[in-house]
Amino acid sequence: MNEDLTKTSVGNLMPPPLDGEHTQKPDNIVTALLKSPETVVEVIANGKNPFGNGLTLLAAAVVFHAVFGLAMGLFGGWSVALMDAVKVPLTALFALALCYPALYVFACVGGAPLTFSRAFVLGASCLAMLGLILIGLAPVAWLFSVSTENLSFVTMLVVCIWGVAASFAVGFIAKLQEHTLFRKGAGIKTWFFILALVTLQMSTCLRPMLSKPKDGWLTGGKLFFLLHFGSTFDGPKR
Amino acid sequence: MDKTRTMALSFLLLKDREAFWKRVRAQDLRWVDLIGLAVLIVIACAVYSVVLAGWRSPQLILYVAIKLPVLFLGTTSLVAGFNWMTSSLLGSGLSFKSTVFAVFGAMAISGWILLSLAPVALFFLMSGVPVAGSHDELRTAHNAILITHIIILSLAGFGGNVVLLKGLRRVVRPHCSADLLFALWVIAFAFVGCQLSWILRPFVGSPFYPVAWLRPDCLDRNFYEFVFTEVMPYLLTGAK
Repeated sequence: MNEDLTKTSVGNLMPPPLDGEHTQKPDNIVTALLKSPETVVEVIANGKNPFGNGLTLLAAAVVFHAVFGLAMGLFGGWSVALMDAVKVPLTALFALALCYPALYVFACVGGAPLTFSRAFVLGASCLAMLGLILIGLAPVAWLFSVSTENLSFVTMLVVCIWGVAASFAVGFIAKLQEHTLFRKGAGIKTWFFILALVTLQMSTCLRPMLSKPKDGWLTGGKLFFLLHFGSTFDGPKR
Repeated sequence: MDKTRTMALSFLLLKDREAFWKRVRAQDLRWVDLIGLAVLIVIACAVYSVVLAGWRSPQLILYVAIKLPVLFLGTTSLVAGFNWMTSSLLGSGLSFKSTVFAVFGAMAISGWILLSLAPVALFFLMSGVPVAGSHDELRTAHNAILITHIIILSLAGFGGNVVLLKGLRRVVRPHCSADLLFALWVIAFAFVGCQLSWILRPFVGSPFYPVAWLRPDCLDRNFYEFVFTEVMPYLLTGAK
């Protein structure tokens, strides 16, 4: 009897069983990235419709980065915001394109032999994951962009937000390791570190991001990203 | 037909290393297979030399495209005998051919990494390092270039060595210490490689010296004399 009681009370404490809606897999790969990353891992591993899935993820990444660019660019006014809505996705896309050969080779050397198409979907999914977190934090970026005049602070905030997004992308890469194909994921993690460095340099190359350029959209001239980010702390105003 | 037999060895290394090491262990590799690996290493070195020396002059690119493969393949050749002897002394059960393939395999992996990072290195150099300016600016630029290449070459070397160590652990006999064998090989390679690179310098090129095939003093003294007579005293006296 006591046993029955225990069962009943425990049963009451347990969450309700999952209905059909909860167990249903997301039908969109971008939604799956957020709600069920393991589904995306399965899609990459199965290699079904790689270009369709990869392009969907890339398109989503572009939109997410554009919205984040718009939000952070409002620091410099609408003209800078519109410029950033183009520059931020371009930064991400160019960085991924430069690092794509490294993704393929590093994954293979690390012990996860990918095909070119799988590497494409994997790279696109990492970028989409970054974009997802960026868009989630875009309101925060917007709030500080429109309410402060301190360039150093906003730069630091944007870098921190990007760092948070990058840590989620690394988490996604760690999730890949649950699949047998990606059990050895050290190569992909090293690749992501390189992607992060290239993204920082790419943002320096496409500077300015938070202020109006003197003419055109680019400042021009060669500059290392550490010097660039360091120099933002010299001038406190926008 | 076994798919791994038809795949070029350089691709087999990338896609199915287990199969490569099985063939090394079974001595199922012909000398002609080595050409494929050597070609990959030469191509990787030639492509990377464009990045390495491109900032200085096209003439230096040509020189480095020849010198870099000579450095890698030359060092391997010079230590090949030592590698085989140590592997025999430690009872690894590897033949001379297997030791050569093991080292070339690791070097091919480094070659793949170099090839894949060439666009990244090129981008950093083209967007981040000015090649004209004052003496101090040029010195800073030269140092930045050196650091970029050191990081990338280290990454490539590390990747190759990890593959070599893991491979040795698979192919040597159980009583043979693969780690010790690996350490001996790496020490020998580094010892000879440093001297050969000293003789074959310049690779990156300095903004303060003219472009040259070899430095005029390349055979005057060795790398270790330079380290002990110039670098160490400088470090020990606190650069006074």
